[in-house]
Amino acid sequence: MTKERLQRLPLSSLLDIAVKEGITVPEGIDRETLIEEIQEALEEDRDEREQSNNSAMRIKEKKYDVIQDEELETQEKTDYPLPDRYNETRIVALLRDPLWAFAYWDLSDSDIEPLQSSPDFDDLFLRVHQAPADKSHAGENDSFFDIPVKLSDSSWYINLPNPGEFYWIELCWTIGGKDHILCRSNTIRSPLGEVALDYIHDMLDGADSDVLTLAGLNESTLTSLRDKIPQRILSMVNDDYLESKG
Amino acid sequence: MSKGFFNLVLHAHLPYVRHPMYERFLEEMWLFEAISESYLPLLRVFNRLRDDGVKFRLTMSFSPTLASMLTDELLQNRYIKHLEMLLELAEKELARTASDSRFHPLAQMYKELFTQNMVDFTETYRRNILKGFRALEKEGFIEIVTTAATNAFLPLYENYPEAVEAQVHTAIISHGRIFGCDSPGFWLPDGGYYPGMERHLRANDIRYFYAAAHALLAADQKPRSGVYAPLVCPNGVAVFARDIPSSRAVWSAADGYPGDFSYREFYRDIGFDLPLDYVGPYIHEEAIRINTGFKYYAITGKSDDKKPYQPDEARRKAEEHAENFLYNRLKQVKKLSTLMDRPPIIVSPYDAELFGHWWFEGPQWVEFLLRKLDVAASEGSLTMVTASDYLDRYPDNQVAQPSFSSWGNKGYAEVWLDGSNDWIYRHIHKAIDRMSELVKRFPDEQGLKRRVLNQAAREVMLSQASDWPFIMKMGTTVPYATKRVKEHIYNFNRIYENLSRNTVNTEWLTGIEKKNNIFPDIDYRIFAKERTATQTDPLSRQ
Repeated sequence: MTKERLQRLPLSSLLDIAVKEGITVPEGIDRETLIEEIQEALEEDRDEREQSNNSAMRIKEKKYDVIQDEELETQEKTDYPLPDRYNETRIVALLRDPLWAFAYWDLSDSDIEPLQSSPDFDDLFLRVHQAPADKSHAGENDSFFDIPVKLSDSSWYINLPNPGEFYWIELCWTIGGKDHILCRSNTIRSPLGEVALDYIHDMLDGADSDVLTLAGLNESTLTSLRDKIPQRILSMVNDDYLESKG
Repeated sequence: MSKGFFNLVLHAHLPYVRHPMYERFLEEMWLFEAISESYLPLLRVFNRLRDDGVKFRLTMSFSPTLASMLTDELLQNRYIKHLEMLLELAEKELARTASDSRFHPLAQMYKELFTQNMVDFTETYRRNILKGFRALEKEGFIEIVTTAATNAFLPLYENYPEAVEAQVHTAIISHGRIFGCDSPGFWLPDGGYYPGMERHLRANDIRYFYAAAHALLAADQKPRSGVYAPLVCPNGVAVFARDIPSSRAVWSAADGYPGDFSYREFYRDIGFDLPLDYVGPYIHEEAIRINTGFKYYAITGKSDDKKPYQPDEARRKAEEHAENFLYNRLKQVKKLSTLMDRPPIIVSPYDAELFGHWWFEGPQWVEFLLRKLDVAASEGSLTMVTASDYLDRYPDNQVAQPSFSSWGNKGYAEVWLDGSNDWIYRHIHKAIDRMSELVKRFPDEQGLKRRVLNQAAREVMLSQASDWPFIMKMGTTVPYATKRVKEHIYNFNRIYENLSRNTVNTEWLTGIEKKNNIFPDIDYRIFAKERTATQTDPLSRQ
């Protein structure tokens, strides 16, 4: 937002922007000082955004960069109200990356009322189930952990303990000390997030590793090949082979 | 046989922005800037190369939303008005800088640029610049491919295969209508891939797609050739992945070519530098300063102290950078060819709008590079190919399942699924569910009801544009992006409720049809669940 534009705004708008930017506005602050502080905060925001974006996203952002740094109210003034909720009991899981998922849920009125009115209602929680990728069916040796949530919550970011596994989430409640399942999400599978092991080739052919390194493996989001492979290979390779290689 | 292959991919995309109720609308500038500064300059480069007998071969992808806007009469007329405005400003600039030898040549340069744009747009291409790209495709210089219909970030719709199918199928139909031919390949929006999505591509006769580097690097089998040969998914669709070193050379903020101090500074525009009473008629209404395209300074350095732009110096630098880029690719090929059993292919995809709009000298760099590559090809050291060319030569490739990936921050879905934008998905997913329900309830409608259902399908798809959550995350025109998602979901919900009551407000329907008029041949039944392969619990596939 340009200084000029800020100078044209009424004091109330400047104060709104200051609050939004987390600026503490002391009593009696003069207008020019407030504008300077806002500009500084906006500049910091911009730098932070730049830092957190990779090159591809930084370039992509320029396509939409018509007005430079301004959360301008859109010309389109029509209001488009959306419902807060859809009055149905469901939970959906979305995979964000190997270690994070996002869940959103809703509870129908007919499911909320008993919870709210029951004196034995203890707790609402998410039960996050996980199953390793090599297991066939849910229920066989899967494990889970619980995340307490409030009736007023409707979404959560969930830290996934292990990449490369299946996860699904149940929205549950406890009443009188007993757990009940309200709904279950779709199953998601977090990616391994690293190069697949191929033991034979790793042992016999260093060319593959060189090609992967040239492909920018160490610059990608994947774990460094050098960090992981040697330990894994050594743990799988027998002593005779190691001796023969010197 | 060439020692190596090079696939330059230029991906052109903008979200569907069309506001007929307003005389001028700020976000329509995205399109006008891209036409003026990227697409027309690139077309001129390609035509010059063709006329000079330079053999080049590259891939371009056009999103259906962009292609639709470029062929829309309202937006074509508005672009001409925009150019007329710039030409008027150019005359004023020539007068203002008449006695300033530093800036007057630059004002002349812009006048010539916008004049050429007007000639090309109105006379050469008769307002449809896609004809220019299609002609180059017919002559064998370019392969044009499509992408998701409204550029949806597909991994976040994995649980809604009917929505993914709708995005892919609609894109294919749109591509066929606009370009008059099939699309052999598919550009994944933002490289967003999830395992299994290739079944939609196969079902729509797509031969290959492009993905992020770690789609291959983290595949379920180690890719023997890294990203220097494609993988083939188990269902036969090939996947080519981005080469990180060549991307970094162009994209990197720290040491990429566009940051060179000789190049034009993007942020010093007269729309911000000159007095309001002078630039007022040429910026946004209500005195909101915006870019005009008249920029007179070079990057110069990291401080705010900028020197006047020197086009000749910048041009020399563009050639130097093209030479450097080629040199490094040849080095890559030389090293890789000792490690691989076939010539490597280096895939370098970029946003088309990078060239010319953000990096003003970008089109010059492309021209120098393609000329040098022509020489390299004649020497057998590096040959430009498309993905189709490569697959024709090497139909047998390693089979593996690529990994969930994108080229967003940290390589997955973080950009599009974040505290700033996660609220949109419960609404969009609900709309998809309801759309599928409508298809079931009304399996074969005609007349007015079909119109209503088709519009419902449009609104769902327009809400899915990945641009909206991207903009929310980036914090640029957030109110506009928010309004767009809300508008499309609201329109859909209203249609859904009307159909449930068996009523239709035809006046309202006609209004939104006129505004959101993309995909004229859409068939709402693309959202039928039966069209897609059965969605099974991935656990039970084991």
